Amino acid sequence: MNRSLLVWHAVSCILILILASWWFQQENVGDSSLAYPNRPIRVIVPYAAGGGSDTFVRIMEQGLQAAKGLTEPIVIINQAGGIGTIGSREVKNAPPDGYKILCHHNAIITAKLAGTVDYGPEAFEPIALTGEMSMVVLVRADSRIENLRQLLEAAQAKPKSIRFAANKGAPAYFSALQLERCVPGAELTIVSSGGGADRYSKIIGGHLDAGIFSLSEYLDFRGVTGTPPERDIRAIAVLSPQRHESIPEIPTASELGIPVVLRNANYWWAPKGTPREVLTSLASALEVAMQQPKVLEELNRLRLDPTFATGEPLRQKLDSTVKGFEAVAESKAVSLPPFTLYVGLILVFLLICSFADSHWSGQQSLVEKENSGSELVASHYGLAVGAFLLLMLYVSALQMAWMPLALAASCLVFALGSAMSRHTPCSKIVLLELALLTGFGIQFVFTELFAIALPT
Amino acid sequence: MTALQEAIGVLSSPAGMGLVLLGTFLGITVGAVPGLTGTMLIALVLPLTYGADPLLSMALLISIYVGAVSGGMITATLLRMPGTPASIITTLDGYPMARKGQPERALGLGVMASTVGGGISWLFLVLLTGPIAVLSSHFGFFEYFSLVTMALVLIASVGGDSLIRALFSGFLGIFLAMPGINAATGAARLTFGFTEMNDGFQLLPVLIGLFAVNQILRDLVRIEEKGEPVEIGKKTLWLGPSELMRHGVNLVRSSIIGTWIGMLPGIGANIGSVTAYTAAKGFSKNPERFGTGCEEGVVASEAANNATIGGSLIPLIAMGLPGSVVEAVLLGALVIHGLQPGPRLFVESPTMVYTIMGAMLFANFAMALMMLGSMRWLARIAMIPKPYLLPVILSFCVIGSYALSNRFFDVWVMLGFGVLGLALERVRVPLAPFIIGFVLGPIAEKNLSLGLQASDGSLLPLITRPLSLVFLSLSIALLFAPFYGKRVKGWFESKSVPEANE
Repeated sequence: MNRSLLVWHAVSCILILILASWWFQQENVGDSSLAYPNRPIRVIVPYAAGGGSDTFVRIMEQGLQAAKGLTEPIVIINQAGGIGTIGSREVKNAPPDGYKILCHHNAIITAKLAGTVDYGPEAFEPIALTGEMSMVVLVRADSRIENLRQLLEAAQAKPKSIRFAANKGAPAYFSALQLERCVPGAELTIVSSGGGADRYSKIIGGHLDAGIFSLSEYLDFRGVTGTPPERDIRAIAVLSPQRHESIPEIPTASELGIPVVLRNANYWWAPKGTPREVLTSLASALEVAMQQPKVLEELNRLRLDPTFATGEPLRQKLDSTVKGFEAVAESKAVSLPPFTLYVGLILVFLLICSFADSHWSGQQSLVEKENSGSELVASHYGLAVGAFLLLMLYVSALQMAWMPLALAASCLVFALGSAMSRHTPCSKIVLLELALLTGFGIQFVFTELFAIALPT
Repeated sequence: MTALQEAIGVLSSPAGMGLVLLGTFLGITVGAVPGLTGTMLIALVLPLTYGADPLLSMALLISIYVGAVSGGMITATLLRMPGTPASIITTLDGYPMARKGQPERALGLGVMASTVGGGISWLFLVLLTGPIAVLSSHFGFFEYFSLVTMALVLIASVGGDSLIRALFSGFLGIFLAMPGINAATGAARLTFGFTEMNDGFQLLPVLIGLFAVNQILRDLVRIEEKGEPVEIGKKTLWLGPSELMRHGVNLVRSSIIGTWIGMLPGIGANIGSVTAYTAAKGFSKNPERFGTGCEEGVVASEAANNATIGGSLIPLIAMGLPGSVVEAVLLGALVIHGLQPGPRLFVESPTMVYTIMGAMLFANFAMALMMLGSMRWLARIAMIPKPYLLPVILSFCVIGSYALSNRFFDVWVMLGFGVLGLALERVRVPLAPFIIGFVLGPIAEKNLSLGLQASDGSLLPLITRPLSLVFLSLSIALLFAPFYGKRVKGWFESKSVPEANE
């Protein structure tokens, strides 16, 4: 036996032993006879890792850990997509046992009003409100518009002359509609223009005239003193009941006689029917976490006001927010050309063209024959089909939780490798070691090093 | 501390250096192993970086990119099997050179050319990105739409042997990117009532399916196919400065061509090396020697394919437009880490910009040293038996797709697109236009929709705004050029552009 193979056997056996013992320890935790919580609580963040919601929940995770309000850790799961509705639906359909909860902001209300989904806050049990973000209306620094009233009056004098950035279906969109209501006859051209950075560059470039931004976006985007006004932005109103301490010079909308308030709050939700004592223990754990000095410091850095509400005050607040949005809910339809139809038609046209093309031009088909010929010679289609079926079986096994990930992955690697080894000889022992290493290794790398929740 | 110092700090920290070296090594390895591509590895590594530091993650991904484009030459030269599509052209002269008993010299020239190509394109990257970013802030919705349209036409017109099939592939990509919630209206479409479809098909599972699963299935079909390996001896790969001078003109020309081709949105490294090779042949005094083991051929191909890296990073960083499939993944990586490429990136996160640039330069030199120092060893890794390799990669494909958003839906999407990729390639529809359409289509649609919202439904700004008009006219010219001018068509075909995979 050659030396490098010996080294491989030694190293892989040791690694497998270490990983396997780690894995057995992992598998044998959690005793369901104990009081709630007796296993980790999964928190669904309906946005991608690294975004605002995700950052907030990760701060709270540290707070919860430091405050020891819960006996079990929380596991953060990012399920981004569909303006937060992929993740919210996941929690809505989860068993109401308090082990899968959601952290989501006002978009949970507007997603229903905009018709994206057919459920709103009523489909959940609210646990608590933790932290609110102030929102500001801003224009380019060299704009003639001095304040919010002037902006709306300009939209009244010449309807549709102001291009206003607010994403369709998002809370800011509804606030823009509320703003219009305050000055009769005012009509804004509301443009859905993506994330904060996108909206900012469109305002700086003069392609949009004004927009709603979060306070932290405004403070981040604002240029340093001395930035030429055509490359800078200026806030004209805060959509809060009071002025904000970080920008005391900016008036609130209400001061100008425009009673529009938009504060993006982070709410925690549990599936409908979750027992009351579970909700209370979660709420009190969150309340203690909110008081941790580290959490307060981080929230201040994000410009989030550390408000907290639960129980009756929370319900009242939700009700009033929902009513405010509902009042303007008959949203304007956006009339756009039917792009899907156009693309579909072009696709069909091209399909016909390519058929015609390969039929008529004899030269081309010659090339085709030559090429496909070389593929036909080496025919192990059975192997490929078998591998694909095995892969489907593997995914089903994981999805239905027939067997743990580490074992399933080991089986997949070993079975597939064995099937292939009939054509290309290789050592079964090495293959087995490799299979076990892959199985346990994947579980270890993803859960321990990268903290990603794997299928269970 | 300035952003530049911070970026240097990140890259010179043990973690930063370690990741760049690791990334370059992994890149070279997957580049060298036929059947594995850099795209595949980057798509599989991306889920691992979700929780990690964005700067370090990008440094890792960029180094994999640099390594993968370079590593392909090893098997291209020794096995006559290009490790990546980027090095298809290298086989033409590299393998004959190796057969003639000069494998070390062929590889040495390749390493030298790769390093110089990467270096020259890096200079362009550093010099041009800032000004282009400033310029692009003047782009409104309509300009972006027209620019993206031009990119789509461009990829279709050079992306394969048939314009119609390339266009079909591109439009199929655009169409399959459409299901889900429309950003402009907030309404779900083409979901056929499945709420799982509300987010449409995500780029990552689509990529893993099209490129990794499809490629592995194809490898399984051809499992017994082997090349005739050429062993390399103990001779050094290092070539002195005299060689650098001798190939100087070719190096600079090929690097500039590579950079330029890389900058054009939608075109990858393989087209860069084809174009540079054709140019080198055209300029050569004895073009008949090309294809028989000619040094200039190796140099042109390898200099250009590495130069496309720097070139394609320019539109990515400055405008958020991906220049190739790898760039599309890198764009996704930046967005996942909460960064939107474009003019804002310079203000918001200059450290990220410098880190990307620094990582490219660092990885370029790391690649040169690794290739020079351990070529014999790398050549052995490239011959690892497939039964060890492919099953492990398949299990990573599944978990990588799942980790994107913890949903099995994405895993099934990946499997579905694996089969689709297999079927498309079976009928010789190239996959690169598909991915570019998949990525650029939504950008084009979004900008047009928002432009229409802002202009209150008028399409006129498309032709009244000068820049938009220029881009649109160019697209139309590019689209119809092959039909009108037989000579133009002949020119395209004479290059026998290989199928664009990268």
